[in-house]
Amino acid sequence: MKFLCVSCDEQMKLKETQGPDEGSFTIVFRCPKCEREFALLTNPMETQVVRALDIKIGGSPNRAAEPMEATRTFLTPLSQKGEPKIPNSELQTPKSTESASLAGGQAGKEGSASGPGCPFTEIVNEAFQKSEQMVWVKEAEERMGKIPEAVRPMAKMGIEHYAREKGYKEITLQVLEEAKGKFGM
Amino acid sequence: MKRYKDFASDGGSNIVGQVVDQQTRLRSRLASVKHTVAVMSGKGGVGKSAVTVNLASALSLQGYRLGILDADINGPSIAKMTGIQRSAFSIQHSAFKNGLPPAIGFLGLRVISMDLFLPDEKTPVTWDAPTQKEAYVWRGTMEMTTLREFLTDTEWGDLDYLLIDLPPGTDRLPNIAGLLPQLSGTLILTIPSEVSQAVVKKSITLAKEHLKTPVIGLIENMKGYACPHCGNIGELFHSSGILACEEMAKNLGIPYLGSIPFDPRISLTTDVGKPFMSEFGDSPAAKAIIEIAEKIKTFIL
Ligand SMILES: Nc1ncnc2c1ncn2[C@@H]1O[C@H](COP(=O)(O)OP(=O)(O)O)[C@@H](O)[C@H]1O
Ligand SMILES: [Mg+2]
Ligand SMILES: [Zn+2]
Repeated sequence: MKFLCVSCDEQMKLKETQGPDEGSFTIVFRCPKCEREFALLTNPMETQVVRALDIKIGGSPNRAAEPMEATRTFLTPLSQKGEPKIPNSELQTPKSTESASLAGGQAGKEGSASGPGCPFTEIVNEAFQKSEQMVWVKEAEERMGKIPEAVRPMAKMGIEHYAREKGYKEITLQVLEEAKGKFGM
Repeated sequence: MKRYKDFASDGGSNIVGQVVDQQTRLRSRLASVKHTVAVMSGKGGVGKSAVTVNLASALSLQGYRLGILDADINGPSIAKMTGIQRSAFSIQHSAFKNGLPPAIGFLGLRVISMDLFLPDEKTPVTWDAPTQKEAYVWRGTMEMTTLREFLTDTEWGDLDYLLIDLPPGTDRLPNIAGLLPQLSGTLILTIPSEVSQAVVKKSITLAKEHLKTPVIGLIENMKGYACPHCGNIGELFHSSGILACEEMAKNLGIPYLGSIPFDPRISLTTDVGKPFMSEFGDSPAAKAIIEIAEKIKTFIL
């Protein structure tokens, strides 16, 4: 998901996340240009879907995930069913650690990265380049095969965007490496 | 106005990066595992778990290092079948930053199973959710996440074979194949009376054609009855064509690995966590299992 500040035509940057509070998250985005802020509020169902995939909104947490974290976290607390084998405190912690990891994520980290030059030039360039299909050399295409299918289109789009920005006409292994560094892949 | 694809990155969550990172951790964990083999069946109760445990035992008795991942999240049975006491296993994981050490069953089998996370045998797996109705909806997602964690977060150590006991049916095979591009192959288990051979065919088609994972072959369980007194094998099911399974394998272009006779001592031992393969190693059923294990080794090498 991405958010656009319509008046500035700028991508909003993640500012902070709060929660979960009774299953819902508050995710604040901020326009780097006009500084307008807005918050996305998730319902428990939406929160759960993201969490079940073990994806952290706002980037990977600073602390390393504990072994079997998602499994243990989502198993209905044993205390509800009988003698608990895991201390209750541990089962309940996800609330606090989750919010800590969400808030302590990479919020704002990329805010500085993208500083487009003349927006007009960019748009014109892009308009021209868009009509040309980005060419993927065979090796680069193959390398992408290692990325899980579910996120491959997203990754490809990101890499093509990077290549266009750099004025490359085709995606080679070299371009892939460069782009990878940029995305922290 | 800009559109979604005009931005190279997502909203700052770096989802691609996180998923790739999950994959990287999985790959480095499994670097010490030589071969991974998934065991599947069209339906439950055909002896998939018992055969998995006994194949693992056979290989372990030959000196190989074996692990079993119980991927049957809702019907876990491997811990019990390998003689692991729930109470002896600790999931007080904070001490294990590098991963959770697997539980150790008889013959040194390294096991991870949902069993170990539940307080007792009667407790069903339920996922925490705003309502249980919703929990049902993402059961599939959670099962997939758990599978990935079982693979990634278990400190398997050096293994020659990691056997994966899949739940009945074909639902989880795509997940496993997605998580493990290096899967050595799948074993498909069936019984002679299985009317729904269509399910077996479906499994094979899915594995072979759609997922492109190698099918090691078909195992026919409970074929005939081995008399514990004289060892003679009599017929158990009134199957019209004894060759049916063998023929089906041939028609589908997959190897027929052999049959295992019905032997009550399998359930008398395996179901209570005793090693059938070392206690009744000379029985026809044990010999059949050893023979199948040999074919699996040959296929993989
Ligand atoms: N060849 C066999 N002879 C006798 N009993 C068997 C045999 N194979 C499996 N069993 C028993 O059949 C029952 C079902 O087996 P199980 O492995 O739990 O099935 P599945 O995992 O396919 O649901 C168990 O009691 C098991 O011990
Ligand atoms: Mg089973
Ligand atoms: Zn703005």
